[in-house]
Amino acid sequence: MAISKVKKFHIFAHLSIKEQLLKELQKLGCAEIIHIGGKTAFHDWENIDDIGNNTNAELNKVKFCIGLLSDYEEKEKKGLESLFPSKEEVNYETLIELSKSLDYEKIYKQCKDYDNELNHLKLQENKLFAIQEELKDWEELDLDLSTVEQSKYISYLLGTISKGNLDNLISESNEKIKKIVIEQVKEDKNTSKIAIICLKENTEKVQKILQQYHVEMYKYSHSFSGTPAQILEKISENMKEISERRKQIQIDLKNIYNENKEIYKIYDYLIIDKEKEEAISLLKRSKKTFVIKGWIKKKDIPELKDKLKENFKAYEIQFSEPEEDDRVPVALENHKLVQPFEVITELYSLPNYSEMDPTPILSLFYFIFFGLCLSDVGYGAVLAILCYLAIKKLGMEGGAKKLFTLLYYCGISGIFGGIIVGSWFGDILNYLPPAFSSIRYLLVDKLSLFNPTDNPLPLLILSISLGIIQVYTGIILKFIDNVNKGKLIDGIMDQISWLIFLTGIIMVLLQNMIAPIFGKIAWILLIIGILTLVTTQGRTNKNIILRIGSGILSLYDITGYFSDVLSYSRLFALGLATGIIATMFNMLAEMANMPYIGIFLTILILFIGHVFNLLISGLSAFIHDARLQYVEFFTKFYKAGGISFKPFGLKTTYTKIISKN
Amino acid sequence: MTDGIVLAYLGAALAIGLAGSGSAIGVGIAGTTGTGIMTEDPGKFGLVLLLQALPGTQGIYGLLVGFLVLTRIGIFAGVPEQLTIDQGWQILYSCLPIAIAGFFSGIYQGKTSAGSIGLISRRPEETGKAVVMPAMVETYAVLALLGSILLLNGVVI
Repeated sequence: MAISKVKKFHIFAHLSIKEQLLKELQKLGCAEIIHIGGKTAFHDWENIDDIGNNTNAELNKVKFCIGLLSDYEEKEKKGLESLFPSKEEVNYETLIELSKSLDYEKIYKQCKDYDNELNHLKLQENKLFAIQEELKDWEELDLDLSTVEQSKYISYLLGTISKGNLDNLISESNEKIKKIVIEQVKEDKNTSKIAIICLKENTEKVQKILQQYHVEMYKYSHSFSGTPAQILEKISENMKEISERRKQIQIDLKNIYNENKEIYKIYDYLIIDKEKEEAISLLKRSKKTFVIKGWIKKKDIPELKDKLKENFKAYEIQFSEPEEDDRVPVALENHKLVQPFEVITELYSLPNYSEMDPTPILSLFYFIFFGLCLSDVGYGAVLAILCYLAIKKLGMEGGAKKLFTLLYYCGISGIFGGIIVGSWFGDILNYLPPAFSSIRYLLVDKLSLFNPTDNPLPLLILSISLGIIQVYTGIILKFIDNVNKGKLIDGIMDQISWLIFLTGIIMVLLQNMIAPIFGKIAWILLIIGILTLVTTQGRTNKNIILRIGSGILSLYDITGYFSDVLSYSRLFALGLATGIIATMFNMLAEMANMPYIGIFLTILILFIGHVFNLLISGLSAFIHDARLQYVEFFTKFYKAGGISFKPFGLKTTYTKIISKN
Repeated sequence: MTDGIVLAYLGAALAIGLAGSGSAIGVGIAGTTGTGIMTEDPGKFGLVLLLQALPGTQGIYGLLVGFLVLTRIGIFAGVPEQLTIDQGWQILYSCLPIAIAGFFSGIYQGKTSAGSIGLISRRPEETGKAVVMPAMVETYAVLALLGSILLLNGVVI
């Protein structure tokens, strides 16, 4: 239906124009290049090896620079705009020139150096910090330990001992060892830090005694000299130097960023280049020529031909229809109004190339169902306005624009849904002063068709009826599909018989409400339906008894249709839920009616409550609506599994490529 | 106050409490998986939050039914209705569908959400499918809500 017709193409050309030709194709951006494949006439052609420059490595370098420098970007834009930054418009030719003129290798070197230095500083700082932490305990020791270490005759030991053991240790070591000094440097609740100085020859003995008293030894692990207090001072000086140096580097980096904003463009250029290289790897060559194979939409063929004719002479291009075993890429092509709903189809899966695009029919159902699920004028209007502003102000493109346009439509649908059930931010109109009661009367009582809180059945019946319509539509679409494929008989037996049967059941159920003559027709339809189903559904079986048996079993599928249709009751339930939750918040807000702060509290509750409800109800409307399409509608006819058409083009991240004129 | 209203209160309390507990467990299950995924890729926060929020609707449905009961028996109007024991039982029974189905579907939806979070962590392009899976479980909470509303609507006061 609305799947773009595509054609396969082969371009042959002389090797010398390979680069230019690919560049033109990329600029044109309407062809998808694919691998030639093994079992073709080109099986003895070679791959192209001289793909050339090292784009990946270059790209990594630029990525590194951007990663480092982007921290120094000045954040001017706030909120939403920073999420969808407007892209600078550039020309592809200028981009190429820029990539030649800008010495990004130099920027990379600078960045790399600074980054290394920053890492080094970080490392040093950590080391100093560790020493600082250790030394804090020994700050009061007034002794330059490095001088003691060099001494010939004495040695020192440092350690931590639990307080209870300290006196015993002192007395025992004084007893056993000559000439020993034990000094308590610092004490806290349970432990003491002690310094021991003794003759070198006695060191081992002293260590033995210390071991008995469970002294935890401490050894310096750094190269500073001086007393601990002096060392600490030195360390804090060093740390200060480090942080100053770091600040300087940050200023430098910021300058580099400001001087070289062009590096973002280089990134885009390299991305384009990389895509081109990937395309080259799909080509094959003979001695002097090369071949490109790809897909192109039928409507783009003249443009491609013109462009090639304009720029090149030595080439040959052939078009052919897709063959049966080709994996043909799929691009959807719909009216502008329907286009946003492609999002829903794509979320499920693209259709096969040979199947139909369900989007146009889906869009109508999706629109109506969303309105019933959201069903509030206020929420619908807020959603529509926000999405409209987002699209207009933020200059969105591609997928984001599609999604927001879809939500914009959904908002409008929500307004209609709200009008028919008379829900305006729930029942907020009831709180208007009496003078406005005529407005309330007009908006709620006059315009609304249903009052689901007092009498739920009519709206429930509407929901179920919509469900029946959609299920019927699905079955009919499958029938059309069968007819298009020349399987009319199958269509009649599998779809039409079900339609007759289902219609019969519905009419029998409703026979009290319709004229008696229809009651008879209903039974006739029902019986015809059952008979055709029982006789035809088992037609693949050769055995006559099995055939009838599976025919009868197939009647069991009625439960499937029954549950499908009942599933649409969610439209009613979700719509009602939105209205009641909104009403609940209105009531809560009214309860906050206290002196002085009451009005603020009321506004706060209203704001938070309604935002919350809009989010929750909007989300479930979106999801449940999609679910109805996928599970109840698509299962009737839709064959998914198409692969998307990805044209070879100029894909950029930071800039927007415009053509020269 | 009559005896009937006590039963109506019990109904509202069960609807709000049980459905809310189901949601809390479900959101908790999904959340634990979600935080695990985010240790690998914190950029997925938005999507993970969305999937984590999905089992939260049962609690809202429960609250909604509870609220409907309270409105029905005139608590907000300030003058509670005089309910007979029969009416009280009717209201209590009307609350049971969302209380029971809300509790269990909340838990199972949480598990499905957790699975979906796992799916998007490996295949971010399949977000659509990941979001629809938990919604399949929610169907039964929606149906229970519908049942509760219809039953409640049938109670004659």
